[in-house]
Order: sequence, then C-alpha cells, then structure tokens
Amino acid sequence: MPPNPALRIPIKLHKQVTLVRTSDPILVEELLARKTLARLVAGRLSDTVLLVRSEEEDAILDELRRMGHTPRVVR
Amino acid sequence: MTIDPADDPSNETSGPPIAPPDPPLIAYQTALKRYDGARLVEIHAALGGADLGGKPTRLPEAIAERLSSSRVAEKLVSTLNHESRVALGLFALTEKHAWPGLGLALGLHILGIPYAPAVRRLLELGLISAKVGEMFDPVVDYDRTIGSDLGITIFNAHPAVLNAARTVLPESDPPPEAGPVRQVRESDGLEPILRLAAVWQRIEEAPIRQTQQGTFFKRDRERLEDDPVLVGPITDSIEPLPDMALLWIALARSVGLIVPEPGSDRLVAATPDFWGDNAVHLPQMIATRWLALRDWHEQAGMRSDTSPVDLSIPYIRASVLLWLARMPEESWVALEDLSNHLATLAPGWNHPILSSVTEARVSGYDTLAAILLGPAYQLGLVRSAEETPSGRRVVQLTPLGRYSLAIGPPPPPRASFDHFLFVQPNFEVIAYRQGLTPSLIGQFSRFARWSQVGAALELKLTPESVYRGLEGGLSTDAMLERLSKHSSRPLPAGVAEALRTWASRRDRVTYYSSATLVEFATPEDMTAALKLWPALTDRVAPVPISDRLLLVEDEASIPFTRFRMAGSRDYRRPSEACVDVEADGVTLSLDLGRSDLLVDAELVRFADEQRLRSRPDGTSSPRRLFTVSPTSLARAAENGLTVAQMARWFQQRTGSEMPSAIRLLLHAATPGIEPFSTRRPIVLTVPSEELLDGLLQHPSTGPHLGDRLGPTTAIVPDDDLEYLRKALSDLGLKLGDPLKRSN
Repeated sequence: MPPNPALRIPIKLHKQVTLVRTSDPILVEELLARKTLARLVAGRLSDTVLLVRSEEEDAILDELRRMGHTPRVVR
Repeated sequence: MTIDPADDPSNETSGPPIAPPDPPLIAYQTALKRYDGARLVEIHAALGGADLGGKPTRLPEAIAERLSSSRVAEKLVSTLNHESRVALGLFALTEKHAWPGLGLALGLHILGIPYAPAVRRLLELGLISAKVGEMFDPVVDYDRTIGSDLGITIFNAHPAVLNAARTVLPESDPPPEAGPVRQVRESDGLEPILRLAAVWQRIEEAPIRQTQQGTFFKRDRERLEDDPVLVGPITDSIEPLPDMALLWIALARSVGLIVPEPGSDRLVAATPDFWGDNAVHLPQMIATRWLALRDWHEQAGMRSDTSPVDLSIPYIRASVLLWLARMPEESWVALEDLSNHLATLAPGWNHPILSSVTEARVSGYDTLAAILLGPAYQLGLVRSAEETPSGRRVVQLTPLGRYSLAIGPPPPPRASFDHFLFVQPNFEVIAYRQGLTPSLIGQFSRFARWSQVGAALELKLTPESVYRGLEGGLSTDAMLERLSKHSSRPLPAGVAEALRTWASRRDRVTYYSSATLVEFATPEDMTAALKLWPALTDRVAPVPISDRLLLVEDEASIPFTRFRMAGSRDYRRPSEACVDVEADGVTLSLDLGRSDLLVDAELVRFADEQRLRSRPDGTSSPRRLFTVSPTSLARAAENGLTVAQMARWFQQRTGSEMPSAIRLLLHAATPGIEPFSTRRPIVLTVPSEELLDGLLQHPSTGPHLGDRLGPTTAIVPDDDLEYLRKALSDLGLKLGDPLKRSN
C-alpha cells in the first residue's frame, strides 16, 4: 500500500536537463577556464556538475573534444 | 552529372521543398480515388468484395482493405498469366511500390513481354493503381492510361500484392550460350560494404545537412567527395563507378545505415546495432537497393535534382539480370550476344532518356558492361570471364546473384580465415580482405576507423574511434578481444594500454543531453529518499550531485509512489516567468514552485541573494530573495551582460519591463552622465481645477504654462511670466507678484 500522500517526501522534478559532469572538481575548473566553453555554461550546480544549454550540444561536445577529452554522452 | 551545390542555407528556400513520398498504401489508395466509379465497381467485384449498398465513395478504401488480406492477394496473383506475373515480379524484385509507366514498359519490353496486356490485367484486378499526371487526372479508360497517358503515369502496387509477388523469369528463348572460358574473375563483394561502413563512420563523425530540396550542403558533400576512402579507385575493378561518394551515400541511406534525424535537416549515422541486426544480409540488401536506385546512372553518375528527365538504365537493371538467370546455371553469355538479344526483342532499348527515343550515344554492349561489370560485379552478383578463343567478355550469375534475385538458395559462407589482422604499435591495423566478412566489417567499423580501402585494408585506432565503440555499447575488453582474436601476432602492449587509457579518459567527462534531476527541499529529505530508493540491478543508480539534487539517468527508475510532486519543469520548453519584482524595484523574489535551475544561474549574474528570512514560527519563506545593487550590476557589466540582455530577461522571467529603479541604477553606472538639474519653479495656483483647465486650454494663456503639478497648480516658465501676465490682463485677470507671495 502506498504511503499516506501527506507523509511522502516532496520533490521537484527537473526534466530534460543538459549537464556536464566531471570525475574531478579540478576538471570543472579547467573547463570553466576555457573561454569558449565557459560561454556555453549556464551555471554550476556543484563542484563537478555544470548546467549547460541543450541547444549548444554540438558546440560543447566539439569544444570538449578540442580540449582532448572524449566525453561519454548519455542520451 | 552531380547533385547541385547548396552551400548556403538560404538556398533552402530557392525552390519548393520536396515532399516525402506517400507511404505505399496511401499512394495506392489515393490514386484509386481518381478512378471512374464504373472502374472501381469492376475492381471491387473482381476482388469478390461485398455489396457496399450504393456507396461508391467507400470503394477505394474497401478495395485497399480487401487486398490487405494476404490470402486474397496471393489468390489473385496465382490466377495471373505469365506476362502479368513477370510485371509484378519487377515490383517485387526491386521492392519498389511505384514504377513510372515508361520504366515498367521498358523493363517488360526487353524481357519480350508485351506490356499493355500485362499491365492492363493488373489494373483490372486492382493489384496496381494508376496515378495519371501530377494533378491526378481521372482514370476512366485503361487503354488511354497505358497508351497515350503512359508517359505521365505512375503505377502503385498494393503492399500486400508486392509481398505476394515472386520473381518470374522470361519464358522466351535466352541468348546463346558462350563457349569455353578462361580468366574467370569474381569480386569478393566486400567493396560496397567497406565503403558503406566508411560512409557510416564519416557521417557519425559529422552529420550531413540537406536543403529542403533534398540536396546536400556543398561543404558537406565536398567533404565526402574528397575522402579517398570513399572515392579512391577500386582495386578489383573492370568498369568504373561514377560519382562514387554519392552512390555510397544513396545506398547507405536506402539500406538504413544513415537516417534522417527527426526534427532536423541532417542525415545521421544509424546506431551501431544496425551491424548486428543486418550485416549478414547486407550484400543482398545492397543489391536490391541498387536495382531500385533511380537517381544514379552507371554511365552518367548521380542525376541532378533539377533534371526534369528520368534515366533509362535504372529500369532495365532487373530485366538484364533476369536474362542471366534464364541461362543454365553453369553457362556463360557474351555481352555482345546479350546486347543483340535485347535489340531483337526491343529495338532501341538502349536510349538514355526514359521519355525520349533519341538514339543512344553509347552502344548496347557498353551499357550492359556498365551495369554488369560495374555495380553488379562489385556487389558480387555476376562473375566475368573471357571466351576462348574469341576473347569476348562473358558473364554469369553467382550464387549471391541468384539468391538476390530470389531464384536460388543462400550462397555458401566465405571460407573462414581467422587471423587476418596485423595490429601495429602505431595503432594502424592492416586487414587482409580474405578474412573479412560483412559481419566482421561491421564489428571493426564500430571502434576502428577505415583509413584505406584497397588490396590491403587499413584501419586506425584513435581515441575518437575507441570512444565511438564505447558509445555503441562495446567494452574495452570486447574491443581488445576482437583485435586479439583476429590478429596474426599478439597485440602490442602499447595498443592494449592505450585503449584502456582512452577508455578511462572517457569516464572523466560525461555529457548528459537530457538528464532528470530530482530536487529535494532539504538535505535530510534527500538522504531519506535514497534509503527508500529501490535496489537497481539493470539500471544506473541515482547520483547525488549536491546536498539537495539527485541525478537520475533513467526517469523510469524514480519511485514516484514514495514522493509527492511539488513541481515539474521540462527544460526543452521555453523558460517560464517565475520571478516577482517587489515594490522597491530592486528586490527580486524567486517563486520556488515555478523556478528552474537556470534562473538561479541567471540571477546571480546581476543580483545577490539575501539570507533566507525566517518566519515567526521558525520556518523559512517559500521564496528566495535577490537584491540588485550598484555592486551586482557592476559585476554583470564586467561579465559582459548587456542592458538589452537584461531587459529581455525581465520580460521572460518577470513578465514585465525592467523596473525603473534598476534602470536608475544602470543610468547611474553609465560613465560621463550629466548631473541632474535643479531650479525653483514659479508655481501658479488658481482657486479651482476648472479655472486651471481653462487657462491651459485657452490659446492666449495655454502656451505660457508649463507642466501641471496638480488639479489647481501649474508651473510658469520664467521666460513666460510677463507674457502670461499680459494675456491674463487682456482677459481681465491679474497675476500676483510671485516674490511678494513668497514673502
């Protein structure tokens, strides 16, 4: 039986969010130090997660590859 | 001939966009709707359809529905005479639902089949429908449709009929058999598959864009046309293939290796699963698509999209192969004899333009050589030899050729030769063709880039190619295992190490194109939620990315029954207004119920967050407050935020104009601004509002009054004081002395 609705944990869902996540906070600093990439970043959600705009996907991935990264793409 | 250039996106509007063809059943039924009622009644009756009670408008639908039964379609096809079955066989062999009238007539003509009675019977039974002219002229008389209207008629086969039809060989005498032969040549049939694999990789690396007319952007097209792997000469070639890059792209598209990207103008690579699902059947798939390829010509290359004419060769390929199939399996036929045979059956068969009978500039022999020794040879459908002692070029169908025509069993598998790779320490991999199969080409295409296609083949292992393999679902071990299994020597240590290094680098940065984030009100809520999260076996576990945000790769894994949804935001939709401007004009209040993650990042660019206010009961306000100050605006300016961008932001996020208080701050931050002026104005005060209305309205006093300050007061400009005094005097009114009054 599902728990009483009043006791359920309130959540807010953010769907179809476009993010870049790194394994290390230093990598985020490296990405933000790259001007062409920093311009495509909408915000920083944590030490290792950047919020980016979905319409800039090609530009972001191209720039990451130009920096020598081979990002894993999760669709 | 080549596809017209279209480098500039503005070219997209240079002509009417090309509408995609109707699905076969729709095309078939739409054509029927223009039939004369009597013809429809006849077809319906021939199909044994039930009486519709005098509703002829329902007949096209009823006919299409009746034929959709495979039993009905098969039964009707079985009653056809040989000629009509050959005609349907051409539809089946090419898997093309639509044939232009002239193309079908030519294809049947060179098979020695009188097309008119063959096609007429198909029309009478409704197995095919006729679309006459671009504007769907009415179909009343079949004699006219297959006579004077043939040049503007398209025949559409019902999909179920296409499934019921089979390849039927011509019954008349075949061309004479050739004598003994020598120097038999047969291609390995891998060339098209290798080139298509390279096309797939190139388009995976950079999709190609199309104009609305379906042509490729010039830059994209040239990139592929300049790629030596796609257009380099074929080592085992008898006849050249013109416009190779465009041929491979057309074939790759028709077999589904490259596909249109939904919602865009680009063609993108199919998923790597394509290889696992289709590699075994790829030779036959490509052969069928080549038989149906109408925009590419063995001698002239790709047809220009602006060309108004249809070329003939695409409509005779299948018929020519059927004559080879008519020969005894072991016998050979000389191209010269086959050309003469066709000329006897259909004089002038070799005219290049379908709608014109102008004499061909090339001989029938050359046309047959271009078809049979060009693509058919490369696809492995025919083998070639030299007749002795005449030296004439002869051909015969291979087992793959017979299988592709659906008249023979599947060809025997190629002899296996496991160790055909030579992996070099510089990450180049030499592959010997003898060991390759379509499946292996697919397997290696997933993680190694084709860099040379010739007698020996070369692949390169690069970080990007390995990355592509990982993206396609391969593990590093699987790639290494494939290389080791087929390598003639142990893998160089550096290669294995590099693959592992490249693979590990990929995990350093992850790009989520459409992730789901679950936001909790407090860190404690998130901790409690994680405890409630069901154990996952086949899905990636949620990842905390801050003390209140959880990253979920698969939204379906969220246990919604345990949560209460306080809000939901889809980031593919336009931003919502979720900020209110407080009365002071510089305090912005963020509605947490409607806000998104982007707005936070937007706000901090030009505003500073206030500490959360506590209510008397100790709980926090459901809103977060931000203040715009000269300092925060200076930061915004330093980061390149313009006033216009800010104005747009206020429209989008607050639903109203930028507040005046913030405009004031922006004005204050403008360098070199003039100081505000101050002065003491002379204020006129009258006893009532109506009197001031009168003074402002009257032509002799109104021009001498300044701004109205209130119902009974207005400013008198210094320079106008005496004029006003005189005007009032003329009206019999007096103006007191301002200095005296102020005293």
